[in-house]
Amino acid sequence: MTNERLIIETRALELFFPRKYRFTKQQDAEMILEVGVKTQSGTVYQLRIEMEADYPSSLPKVFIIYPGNLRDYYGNDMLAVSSIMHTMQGKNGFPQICHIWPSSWGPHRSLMQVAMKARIWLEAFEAHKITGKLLNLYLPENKNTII
Amino acid sequence: MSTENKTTSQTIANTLEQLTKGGANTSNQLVFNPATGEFETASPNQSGSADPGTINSIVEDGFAKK
Repeated sequence: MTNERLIIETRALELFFPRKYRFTKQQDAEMILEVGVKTQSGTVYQLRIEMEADYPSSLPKVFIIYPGNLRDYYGNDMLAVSSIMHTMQGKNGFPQICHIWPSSWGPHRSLMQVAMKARIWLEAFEAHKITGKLLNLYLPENKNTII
Repeated sequence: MSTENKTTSQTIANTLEQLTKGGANTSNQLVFNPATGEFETASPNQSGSADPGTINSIVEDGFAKK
């Protein structure tokens, strides 16, 4: 990510997640963004957003790294690919959120939008934990999704 | 925009469900308050200085499914 782009991303994050985010560089990805979010119920989560070197051209990946061992209503882990739960393959025990279809992604989108989508996903997940309803009843399908 | 006093998780879930069913015109507006870090809801006919579309549009943009 260029410094110019980093400034733009930081401005947007500061507006919506003030002092709740941190950029770091890692070996297995060009850059990591960690965002702390608290859902309406007061539960705290930590998101790990991984970006490749060509970001914002490529789609960032979003993992939930805290709390660990996230389970669905039925007690299953959230590590598998699931169209009805909007999850991708997890990594290192961390569930991955399916936030947008790659063909819909582009430089016009931002990390703030990604983090906000994850925040919305978490609200849907908590509702699922209470009702047992699948996440696709709470989260509309991205229009460009191709199955 | 004036919003309801305290928006519960249940209200958020109901709003998401309505938006998913395609009720964008009739469902509550979902607004994120950066000061509190919480979502708030407002009736669809309410208007004000805040941008009510900020969160609704992100929800309506949809989520990918594999």
